[in-house]
Amino acid sequence: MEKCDWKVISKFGKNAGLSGLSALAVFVSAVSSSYAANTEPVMLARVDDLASLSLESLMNIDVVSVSKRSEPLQQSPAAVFVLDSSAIIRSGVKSIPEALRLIPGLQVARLDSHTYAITARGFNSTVADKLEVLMDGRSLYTPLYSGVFWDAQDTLMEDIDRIEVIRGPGASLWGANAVNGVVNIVTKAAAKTQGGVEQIGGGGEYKGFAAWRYGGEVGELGHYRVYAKTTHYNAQEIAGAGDASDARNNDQLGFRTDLRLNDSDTLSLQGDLYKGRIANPLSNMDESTSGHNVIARWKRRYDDNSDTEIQFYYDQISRDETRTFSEDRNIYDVEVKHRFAVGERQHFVLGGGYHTTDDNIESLNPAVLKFVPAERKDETLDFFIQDQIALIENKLHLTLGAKYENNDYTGDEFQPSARFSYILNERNTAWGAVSRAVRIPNRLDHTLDIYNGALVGDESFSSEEVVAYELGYRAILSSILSTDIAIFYNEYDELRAFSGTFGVPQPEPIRIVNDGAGRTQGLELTVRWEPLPEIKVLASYVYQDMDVAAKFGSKDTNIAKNDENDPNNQFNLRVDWDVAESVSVQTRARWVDGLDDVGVKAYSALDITAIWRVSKSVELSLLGTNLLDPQHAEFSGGKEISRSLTGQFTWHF
Amino acid sequence: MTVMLPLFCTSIYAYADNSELEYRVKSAFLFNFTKFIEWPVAEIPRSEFVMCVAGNPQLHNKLIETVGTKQNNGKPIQFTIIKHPGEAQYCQMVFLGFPERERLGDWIGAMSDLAVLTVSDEQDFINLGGMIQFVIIDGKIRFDINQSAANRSSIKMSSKLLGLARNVN
Repeated sequence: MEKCDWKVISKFGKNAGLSGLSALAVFVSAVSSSYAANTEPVMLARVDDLASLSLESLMNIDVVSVSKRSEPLQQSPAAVFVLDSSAIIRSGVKSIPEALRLIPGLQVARLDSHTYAITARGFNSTVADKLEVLMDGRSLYTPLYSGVFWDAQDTLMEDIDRIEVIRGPGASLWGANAVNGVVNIVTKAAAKTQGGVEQIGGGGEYKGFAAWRYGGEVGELGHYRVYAKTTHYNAQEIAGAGDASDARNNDQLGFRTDLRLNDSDTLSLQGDLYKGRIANPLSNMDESTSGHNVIARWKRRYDDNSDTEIQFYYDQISRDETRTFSEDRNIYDVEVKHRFAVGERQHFVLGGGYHTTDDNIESLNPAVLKFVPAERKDETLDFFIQDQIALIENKLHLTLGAKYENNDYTGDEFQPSARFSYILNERNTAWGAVSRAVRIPNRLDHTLDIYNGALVGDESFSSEEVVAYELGYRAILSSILSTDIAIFYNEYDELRAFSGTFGVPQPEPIRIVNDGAGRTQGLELTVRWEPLPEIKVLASYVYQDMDVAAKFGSKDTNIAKNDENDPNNQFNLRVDWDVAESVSVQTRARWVDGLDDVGVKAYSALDITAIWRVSKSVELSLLGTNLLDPQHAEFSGGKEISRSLTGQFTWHF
Repeated sequence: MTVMLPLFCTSIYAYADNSELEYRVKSAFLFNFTKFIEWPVAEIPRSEFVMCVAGNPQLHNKLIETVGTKQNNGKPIQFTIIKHPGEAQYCQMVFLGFPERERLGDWIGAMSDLAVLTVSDEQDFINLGGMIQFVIIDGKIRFDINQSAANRSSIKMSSKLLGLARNVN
């Protein structure tokens, strides 16, 4: 072995001459290895000489001088972050909302044992309605209020392949509701989850949990997996003495099978079945959630640039809140997508879908809250197109997209977007976007009735609208340091407001109207630093500022409170340390600004996860969360989240 | 190393481009391997040495740029993209770039009777019966060798190549 360490100092000048081979000059210098005292002479090599180097020399070239994982996203024209499976497993988190805390730029606040408020770029609340959330192509937000019941969303954390998050509108492809962002949870293909896993644990916030998965082959055709899990949560705290009496449990099982029908066709079938109970101290009864879903996805691949995908899913959701309402809902959805290239420079995605949902919302206390009518069926039809154009190859890329949809609430909606990325060089990319997106009205907006007509939904309530302006810059500063910065300015109009002020007596019903408008602006900064091969640091900072008000002439006095749940500043730090071959430690720290208007103080939290791989098949982990204080509030409502120490045993077989 | 980010179909960031340098260096490795490998004598001698790529057109481009007009034992090298395992009979070496495990397995199975060197950078390639698998360790390219798979296809690897491999099994 040679003693020197080949390192590429600068690479890839632009092709200026006639010979494609010789014009791309690579300056390879042999810098001394960190152990050698004397410096080797600097050498210059051309790229066509790489093939003349010996195997030993080739083995000394550092090819991952830029952060490998972030590189595929380096040129994307959007504020994108991808959380991969290894980060999820290293974190030890046991639920989807907790995994979302690992993603820079998302606002995640936990209220109690089962309620989360999650959004991106503002408008947070427990019924936050401006985020599109998908799992394996199935939309998780409920048409009841366009938000997500996070306590009903689960899967085996080990089987999540990645969580992709786009901050900012993604409506032209992802559809209505992708106003402030898209969260796309993708589970692993069955081929990647072969064999068995058994996991048990408990302690801290968990009374106990167990999970089991087994994956095998379906003859020559493909692979399958089946899983089952049960999770029992202890109650969280209230601000004073005593606990929140909101213990809960959740049982879920599911399967996924991926079949290869022939060289070009694949078929995936998957489904879940779940049932959960949550103690409700106010009704002294258990709230319940349950549901099941099946997804079928057929994909035909023509070549690297073209394929067709048809996906169908059925989703059944039931929920009983014990005091207010119970809901049974069916959703049927079919979507077709076709991807193809035109020439060398244009990549198209074309598609369309049909979505229908029927529900039955039974009021448990009609004098307080009801939905009129109690049963409703809605249909949505949509078409979308996106064209990625390389205006100047590897320099200036333009992405144009638009979605047209027709829905039963507002009729026609059009959501276009234009994005560009300007690639200065391999290490620096600037991007920008202008997009329009809408938040389509839902059951709540049109059919709600509170206190026998005191506050009512209104069928003339139209979509909330945003026009978003974004700019971003990504730079790989050195082999160990990279950064990603995005700024946004969003203009909202037709926001939900009330037609009057609550008073006693109340002369006429207060209606839900489009009387609000406003703007948000902010900055999101993420820095990756890998000072040593065994240490990886991810730091992020989010600043945002919201200004929302009732429009001139409106009698609303409520909408200005829209920003009360959104911290202005948020810092996150994640440090992964491979202490030894068999031990990894992840430390997560965050500081979240106070929510002054609702009396929630700024808080800091520290989580530490240690994983010890005792043998090839056995793993012990310890997960400590909220280590800095016995309990703290993350949101309004008077409940607090307590410190927790959980142990877990994992066996691979 | 996956070539394309296997996103939920309609990714807005499909311009994913893998590291140029990584593919150039891998191309140089592929060419270098040929110096330490002996193929069985073909029944019909061919005038060209054929390096094939399946499932990774980027690598094919880099192979042309990096290896270009170099020769193997005095024979010019031809670089070919193949789309079906059946076409592999005309290749001396096939680089398999499919990220899907089952697909890799199918290709390896279909080529098991041919005297074709199989190389990939996909995880588990060796376990699936592939012959040489690239791995990246601390930013540098290493390779594992499945010697028994090579032997089954009557491909002889020199002791020098075996010595440079990270693992041989």
